[in-house]
Amino acid sequence: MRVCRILPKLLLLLIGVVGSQGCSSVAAWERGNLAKKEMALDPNPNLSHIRDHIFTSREASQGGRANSGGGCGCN
Amino acid sequence: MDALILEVVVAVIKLGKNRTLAALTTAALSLPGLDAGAAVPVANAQGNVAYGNYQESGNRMNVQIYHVDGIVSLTDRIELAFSYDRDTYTGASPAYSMPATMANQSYDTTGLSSSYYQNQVDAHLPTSADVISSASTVSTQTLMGTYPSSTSGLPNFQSYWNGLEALYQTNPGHYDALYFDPVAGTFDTNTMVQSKEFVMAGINNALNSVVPTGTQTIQRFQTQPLETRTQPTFGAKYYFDNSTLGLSGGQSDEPDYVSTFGAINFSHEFNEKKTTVSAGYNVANNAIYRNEGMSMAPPGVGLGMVMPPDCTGGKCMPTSHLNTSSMFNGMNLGLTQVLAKNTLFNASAGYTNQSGFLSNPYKAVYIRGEVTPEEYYQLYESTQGGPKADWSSITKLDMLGLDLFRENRPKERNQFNLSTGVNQYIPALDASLHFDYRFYHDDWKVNSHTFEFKWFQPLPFGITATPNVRYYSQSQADFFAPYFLAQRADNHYSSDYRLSAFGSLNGGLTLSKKLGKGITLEAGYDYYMHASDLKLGDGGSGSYADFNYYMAHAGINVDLSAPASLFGGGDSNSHEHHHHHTHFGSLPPAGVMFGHMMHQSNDVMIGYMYMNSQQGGNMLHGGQTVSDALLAQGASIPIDPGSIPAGGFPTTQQIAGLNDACPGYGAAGINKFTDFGCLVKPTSMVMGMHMFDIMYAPTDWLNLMVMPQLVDMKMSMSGDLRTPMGQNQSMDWMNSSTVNEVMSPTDANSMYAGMNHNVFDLGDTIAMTLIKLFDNPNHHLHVGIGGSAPTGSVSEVHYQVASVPVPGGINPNTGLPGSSMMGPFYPVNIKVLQDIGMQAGSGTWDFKPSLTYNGQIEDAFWGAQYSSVNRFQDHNKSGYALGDTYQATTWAGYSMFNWVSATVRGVYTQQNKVRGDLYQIQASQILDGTNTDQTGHDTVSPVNYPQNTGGHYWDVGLGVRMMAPNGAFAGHTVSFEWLQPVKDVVNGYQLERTGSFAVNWSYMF
Repeated sequence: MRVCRILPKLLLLLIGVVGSQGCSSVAAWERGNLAKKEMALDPNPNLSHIRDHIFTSREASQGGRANSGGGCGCN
Repeated sequence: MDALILEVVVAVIKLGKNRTLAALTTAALSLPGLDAGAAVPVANAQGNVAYGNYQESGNRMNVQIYHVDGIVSLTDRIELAFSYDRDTYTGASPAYSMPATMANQSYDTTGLSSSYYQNQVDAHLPTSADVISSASTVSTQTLMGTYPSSTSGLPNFQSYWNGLEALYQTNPGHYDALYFDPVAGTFDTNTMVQSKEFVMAGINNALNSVVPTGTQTIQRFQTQPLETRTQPTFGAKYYFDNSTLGLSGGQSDEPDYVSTFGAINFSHEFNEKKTTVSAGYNVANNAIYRNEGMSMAPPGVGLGMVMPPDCTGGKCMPTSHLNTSSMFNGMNLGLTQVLAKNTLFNASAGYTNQSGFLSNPYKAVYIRGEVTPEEYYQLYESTQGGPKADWSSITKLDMLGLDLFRENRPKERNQFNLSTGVNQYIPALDASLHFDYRFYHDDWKVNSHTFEFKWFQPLPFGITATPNVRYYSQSQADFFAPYFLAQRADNHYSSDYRLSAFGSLNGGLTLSKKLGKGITLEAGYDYYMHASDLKLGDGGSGSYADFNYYMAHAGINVDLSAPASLFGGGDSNSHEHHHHHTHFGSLPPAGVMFGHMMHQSNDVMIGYMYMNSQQGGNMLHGGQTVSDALLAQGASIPIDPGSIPAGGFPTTQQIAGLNDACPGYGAAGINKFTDFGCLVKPTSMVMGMHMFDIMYAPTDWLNLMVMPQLVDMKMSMSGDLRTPMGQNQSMDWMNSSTVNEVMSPTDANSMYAGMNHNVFDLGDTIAMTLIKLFDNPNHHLHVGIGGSAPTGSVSEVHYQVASVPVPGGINPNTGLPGSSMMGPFYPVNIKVLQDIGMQAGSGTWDFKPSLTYNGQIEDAFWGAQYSSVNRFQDHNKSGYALGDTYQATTWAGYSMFNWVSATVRGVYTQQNKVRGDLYQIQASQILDGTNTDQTGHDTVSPVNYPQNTGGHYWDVGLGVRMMAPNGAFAGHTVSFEWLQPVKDVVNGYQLERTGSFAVNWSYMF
């Protein structure tokens, strides 16, 4: 899939854009947007839990940020 | 498993961070109080309920996913969390893969003189089958010989005989040595003992010449009986000023895998709370079993059972039971950094060590050369009276069939992962974008890359749309191959597609809508494609294993820290008013449904009710206890002479009992059971119902109610009810020619003995309207008009049968087998359903009227209710309808304090018999091939017969109700009621009731 080969480059580009914003000081009263539910690391832990259990039982990789499990998932 | 702990730990981090940000916002809003406290526990309590339906393409696995969780604060420092997961899964999954040329090989139909076998082939068998097969019990006998008893034996295949033919053609001088039958002009295995040269030629030809290198791969599947995984998890967190300590633990329990796990995590905020670091450790201990054996899998279901090499069919027990374990230890480090006012960055690293049994107990591998033709010949010789083969010198692997073995993975695995992600808020769109990447590596040589993108877009009307895309690519484990044409030095093999080289693409959309402040509804759909071609770069493992799945999900979130505004527009004054007006203490007992109304328009109540009813102890016939002997009547136990009254004749009761409990179906056929009586009886039955209700009062005289349900049932069967009549009468154990209910004549038990049945599924959904008929301060009368929709399944499968043995010879008059000889296997798709009492729903649209009276004077109250359940249809899609039910009940109670009351109650219930029955297996249509796709049910126990349903029941109940009149828990009510059976008069033969209870929690807004 050609699209898939482009993805890593897109990610690098994104990290570059983010990085360019630097670690400028963000005062507490400027953090309203960061406090939105949608900006949480995982805004929907229940759904992630269900999805990740499926991923770990269908793929070899385990662990990391996006992961969940429980049980064998052998089938 | 470690994955779960990591998830828990990660969730701890996530929650902690979320809370930090919330606290920071609070601080920002209360300027200049920037030193406000950091992360704090939830204000009151939160809960989630979620459901998912996972379905793989091609009728593979289906999983029903149920999840509930809650979080509550004990103090301003301590928070407790629990979650409960339950998955029910069934379907088929890949068992092994093999060279395509080994599939669908021709059966030998020409080289033999056995007219018996010839007829079987013509009449019943497909003309071809896999040379590699695990369809039946495997022993040396089925591997190599006693032709023509098994499809697994090499001599059944044309290619084997082609090898002999070739040898014969090139060595005509060996004519005599090969025992070729000159009269028939054919090879006759019934009479001859073949020479080694002869047999080796056949083996070599069958195994070698048909598997050229580079042959395409073909997959074979095994079916999975309905199983359930249950996972409770508990967690606690303590909040310091700038740090959070979290502990969690739980257990995941399924019949073949029990995992106990725990985790500890610590996080710390600094740098003006712009930076959070965390560290965690987790551990899991897994007990691993394999479901097999006679109590679980009839012949032909799933993988075969491996017998000891010197075992011939029926003389020994399977040795494949597995009881082993594995241990996972993991640690992780995390960093979260505020980069800018709209940008959040995170990174984490993890390491996990896994050790112990890491193979998949159900997967098999095809390995050419693990057993050489010479060794196959040794096995052949041992079946012909030769020396016993030394099995351990032949292979260290578990052998399942010809060239087929259980997979074997290394005993240790070290896993590493690095993750990073950015959350970016876009003010112009009010949208939040999440980009995440993970790199994974392990010492099985699997490397993977995961890219994930989510877009959270708020829309008008409180709706949030979240599209997501995920791409994943992995390389294969170094001991993976679709099939193996040579031995590996390290003896490690797997053909599990999860260790292959592939990529996957997953896309989905989730929509959520807020209802007021307190409730959020959510629903979504994911589609996932697994494909070899999707792998990054080249080198996918082949498209034979490609599959797709979808996952539909829905959930509801309730935040109890937003009281009085659940559906928006709440008025706190009217809310206060409820608690003065409504006499919570005078409500009916917990077990009375639809027993009270809300009397204020716009009132809303949510509730949860759990009802549990149990049966156990004696079997009843009418109101009398019956003995096991009577239930088994007709099998091998005549009426005990000692129990026959003087005069020499059995009592009417004894005669009436003959064959009555398990009468079978029809005068003949595979469903006829009159020769046997009951093989087993139920020893316990527990039925639990989880009911969630939402009640709403649009006006003061009308209440509307919706009540979805989950049912959770468990039934255990007794041991074999029959007793052998004597040492030499083993035939009494055995089926006659009609029913194959034992594995072999020497089995000590029926395969049904000791069986456990479990069902956990969605039940029917009730919708109800309550209408006030009369109301003054002391007397209330209301009618309930409503019913239930058949959302519960009436085709809960007990097990599936993928093939049945064709008995030797069919009687043309009866269409039944005439010989006890077990023939080859015939492919079928038979679903054997659970009995009617274990089905999750009624399958019919049901009418549920009720009339309720409530009275009260000061602290005393009383009431009465008449209700019924009437079925709108005379049969459901499985062929039956439950009987109508009529119930009358009356109660009296007293409010001892303003927070607690007690009740006493009497109940009479009439439950009619089931009408119709579950569909039957049409055995003759299986044997003649006209209908091999059927649904049936067992016939071995009283619970399998509709005449053994319903009856008249009397109960007495004691109940208690508690409510908080004011304070933080105002509006919450908890009640409990125990119902003690006083008398049962049952139809037919049934297990007596031992009691039931109801627990009810409700919250009024």
